[in-house]
Amino acid sequence: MRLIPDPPGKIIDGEIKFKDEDLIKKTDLELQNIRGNEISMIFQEPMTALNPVFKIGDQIAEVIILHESNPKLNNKNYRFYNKRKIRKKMEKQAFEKAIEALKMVNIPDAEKVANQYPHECSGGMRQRAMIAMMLACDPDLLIADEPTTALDVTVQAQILALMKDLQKRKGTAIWLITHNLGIIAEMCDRVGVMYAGYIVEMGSTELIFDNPDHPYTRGLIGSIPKITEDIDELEIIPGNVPNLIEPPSGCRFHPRCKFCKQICKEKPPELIEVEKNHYVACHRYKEVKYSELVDFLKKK
Amino acid sequence: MNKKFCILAIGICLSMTLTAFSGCVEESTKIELKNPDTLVYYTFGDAKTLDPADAYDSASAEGIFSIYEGLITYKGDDLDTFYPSLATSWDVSEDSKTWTFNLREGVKFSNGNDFTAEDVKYSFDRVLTMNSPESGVAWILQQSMDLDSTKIIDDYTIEINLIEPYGGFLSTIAYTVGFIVDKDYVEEHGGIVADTENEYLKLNPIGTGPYMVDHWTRNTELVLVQNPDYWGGWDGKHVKKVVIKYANEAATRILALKNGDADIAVIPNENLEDVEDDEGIIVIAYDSFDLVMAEMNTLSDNSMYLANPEVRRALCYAFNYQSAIDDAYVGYMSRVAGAIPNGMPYYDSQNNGVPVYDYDLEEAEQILDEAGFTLNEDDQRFDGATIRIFYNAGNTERYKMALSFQEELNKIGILSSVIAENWPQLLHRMYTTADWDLIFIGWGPDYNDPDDYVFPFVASSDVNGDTFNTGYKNESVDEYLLEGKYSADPNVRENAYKNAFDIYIQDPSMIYIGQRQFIRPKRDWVQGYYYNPVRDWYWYDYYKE
Amino acid sequence: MKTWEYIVRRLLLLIPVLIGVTIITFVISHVIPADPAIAFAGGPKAQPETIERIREELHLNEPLLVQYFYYLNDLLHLNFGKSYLESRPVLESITQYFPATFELTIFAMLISVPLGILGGIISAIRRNKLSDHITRIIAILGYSMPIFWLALMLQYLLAYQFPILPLEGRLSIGLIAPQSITGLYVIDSILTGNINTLSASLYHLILPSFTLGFATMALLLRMTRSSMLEVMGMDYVRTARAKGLSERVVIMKHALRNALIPTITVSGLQFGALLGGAVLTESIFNWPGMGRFAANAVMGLDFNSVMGFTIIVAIIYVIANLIVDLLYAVIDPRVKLGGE
Repeated sequence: MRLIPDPPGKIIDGEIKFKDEDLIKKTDLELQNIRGNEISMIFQEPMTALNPVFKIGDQIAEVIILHESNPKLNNKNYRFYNKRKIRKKMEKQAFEKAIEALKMVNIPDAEKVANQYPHECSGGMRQRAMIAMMLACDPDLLIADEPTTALDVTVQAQILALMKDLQKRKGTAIWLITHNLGIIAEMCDRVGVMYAGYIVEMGSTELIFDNPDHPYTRGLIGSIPKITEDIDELEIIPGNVPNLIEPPSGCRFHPRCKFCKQICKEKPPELIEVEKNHYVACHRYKEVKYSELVDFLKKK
Repeated sequence: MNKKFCILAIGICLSMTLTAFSGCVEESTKIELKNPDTLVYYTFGDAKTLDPADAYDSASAEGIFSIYEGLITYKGDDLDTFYPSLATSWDVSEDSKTWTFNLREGVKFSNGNDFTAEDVKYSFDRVLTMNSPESGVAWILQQSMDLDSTKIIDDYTIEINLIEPYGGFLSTIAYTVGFIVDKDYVEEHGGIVADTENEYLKLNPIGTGPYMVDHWTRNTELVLVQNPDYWGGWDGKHVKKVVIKYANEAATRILALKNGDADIAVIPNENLEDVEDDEGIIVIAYDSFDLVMAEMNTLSDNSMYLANPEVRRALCYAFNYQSAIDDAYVGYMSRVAGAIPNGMPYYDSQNNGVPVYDYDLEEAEQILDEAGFTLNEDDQRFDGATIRIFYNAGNTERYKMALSFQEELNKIGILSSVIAENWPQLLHRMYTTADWDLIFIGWGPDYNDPDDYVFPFVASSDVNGDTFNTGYKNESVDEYLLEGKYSADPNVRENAYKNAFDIYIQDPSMIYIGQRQFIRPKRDWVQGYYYNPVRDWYWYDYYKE
Repeated sequence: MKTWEYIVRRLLLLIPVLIGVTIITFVISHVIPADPAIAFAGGPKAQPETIERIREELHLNEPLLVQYFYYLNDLLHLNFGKSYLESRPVLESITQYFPATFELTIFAMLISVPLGILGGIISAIRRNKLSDHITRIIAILGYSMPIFWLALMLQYLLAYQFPILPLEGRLSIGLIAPQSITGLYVIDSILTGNINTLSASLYHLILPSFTLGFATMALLLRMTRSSMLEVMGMDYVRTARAKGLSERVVIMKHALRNALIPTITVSGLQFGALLGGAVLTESIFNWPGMGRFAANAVMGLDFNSVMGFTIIVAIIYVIANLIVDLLYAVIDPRVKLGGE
């Protein structure tokens, strides 16, 4: 969404394809039209993500008015006073829609909440309000950055259920960013695993969880404690997350990988389609697959 | 980035330096005369009141002298003759106790009311009854008049019977306290209430004089405009409007004079050199009647040394008069021979006008040694007792004199301390305690008569003198001074004052330091200006071109 | 209503504050063994009966505590005593001078608040760029230049060397003030339709309000800048951008509103401080306001005036603080009046 400001972040290379258009080439004005309208984003900290000096309903109404502007407002033929009347009407309608949006995210007593300030609501309510706000304009894509990490487990379940429900109803694509494998398993159709800034494995959820071909993915999944098993020690991935200012050469995972070979240290691997709907970026994926099979047989 | 910053910083520094140097640029533009009909006078210190019955400060007089009038007046700087004003002629009885004045007919107050003898009686009685609660100025008339004094003979003749034949009587009624108010007007606005200020008259004067008040914004400005019905008429050249502006900051007044906003300004002595050399500004010094003195407490509780006349004579020799003139008053002062200032009648009765004492440390030491006040082992006299010198806080001239005197005393072995106190505090100390030895004071003229000076200074409290509470008492001096006070014969008076002087100067209760000069820098387009020591400003005589 | 309760409670607190203030100033000014009666009676030439009468009037013969109660009683009747310097009631002086200072303060704030906030915003959004440096230099100039120096320089340059502005005062020499309705010459001129005094008073306001405004602008600029920088890093600003709002709306609506909270409260306190009188500016421009009044009273040791002035300023400060707290509650919905 190009939200990161120029210092400190800079786009060096590459392209962002959205609906067959490169977002990098878009002007600021075009981007503003896209944000909140076609691509929306909800953030990790619901406590601070809403503006404390405006009412919740007003903040939601703001995005509605923004993206559904009345052509009459831009028409020069209309007098100032008339425009004011039009604007007032728009604001009123938008506020109504905001209340509807709040109802849609299952907030009880939506009208009261719409007239409240963010500090008067709980974390769960604020996150719901955020979702309502970001979905109000029916975006095609919703980016959710760790939406439930700051919430407690029961609320988390509610929010996730809500998101799933909305997704079904509105058909919005959701791009969920999380470290919680459980959530991924429950919510996602496709998964992309990232390590040190690169995608190392990508594919449908079942394939990734059943047949992880990247050592990192394997490590992740392997470290999940299974309720059916009885073990003394959990599996871990040895080592630490690398320093991104001076990343390791070649494959960034190589210092921690038990399949590491010389080529891993020299050349960064490319994403290869291993099977339908399953991509891996690893030089040694075949060996990884083989050892998988061995483990599987061992368990038998 | 850095480079841009440096350039910017240098640029700002340069522009500031240039600004600082802009003051060195010589003024080549000549200032043009502004407001040809208005005279602007920049001073400090707001007038306290415009009611002549209760006004005693010079700021108030600035306005009152042009708004109200008395029976007689001055012309220009002539101090020897009294000229007719509201009285056309007058004479006095043989015993000098009864004065008869013939009043001018056809004079109107600026509100249209007629001026008659009733107003005269009313005005004098008013002063006596009201008793000037704010300023105490009533004493000037009270010393020779009471409520039975003024008699109306007819509409235009008035008779005044003095309690005693006061020698300076005419001078007293030429001062603002003797100015005439409109009886009807005052009666309409509060009348006369004993010991109480008349709030309305204070702010809204109506007189017979050439000017009226346009508006008086307290502490900002007093604006006078022509009284179109003034009996003296407006033939000839007279300024039409007078603005007296009050600005306490000297810098503001100086700038105003320099750029022509001010036609005349009050500028401290130290700053006169700033304006002296400016083209278009004239600085002339005139001898005023303002005396600079240091009083000595003859009843001081400090080892009673000052009770001894020899000690006081020695102090008179120890004072460095020239340094006071040059340093404290920047040269704008001249020596005075005694209590009567130069220019006032009978000045020469004081040792022919030559000061008796001069700065002579050896003489001082000799006198002290002969009187038995020698130096002890530590080279101190009076066993190390200190002479306490006071002055009122804020007065830089007196401060400088005090410090200088301290140094001189030190040279002859007398210790002293210099203390500043604010005026009310100092007055309290002077009057109710004996806790002081020497205080620097000043005195300005109320009216043009030596009695106004000598009596308050040297006559004792027994006869209602000794205004400065020195405790000085000499019966012969009192006798002579009373003689001088209550006689109208110039010869008698001259002798009396001479005799008094010869006694009191050898037993001095004051160090008579000097007589200040009056300087009011003005622009060269102000015409008709003169200086009269008892009437600082009379706007009618000035004009601009 | 809760708000009214709060206001009333705060105003009631004014009473102990004033009592404290009056006790302190009363004690200080009366501990000095100065008998003001003689000075009030006219100095050395006063008659003894006059002096005694004034002593009776001022209750100077009574013990200190009794005098204090007479003084409090007078205060309740709005009698602040008489100024011996100005020879009129202190209350009258204050009534004349306060509107002058009020007018000057308003115009100074009209300069310092918009410029300070605008400068702070520019400085924050163009951080470390040229415009940031320029505004910061201006701010440094503002609070490092001694105000009397700035006043004198401006007066010298613009009223004397290149005489385009008036030298001193509120109106041109000899011009009578407009009819007094509020005491603010600009407003009174408009209300009475007096063009002369309107232009004269505006003209005379330029230099003194600029001097005062420039010095106070610096503080607001710094505050706004740091406040903005802090706010711009907040999550809700990111949310606002994510909604697709233009950068201008993000800054001027979402960020600014939050950033202004501390700035507005500081401005409020500054307004109160300026009302107490900008002594130096007023003295140099001969502005007949509270500051000049206070300076003269202190230097002339006119105790009644000093006490009257102190009491008024104490009241101003308490009310200013109250208003600022109320403003705080209005601007920031998170703040509840009266504490948790």
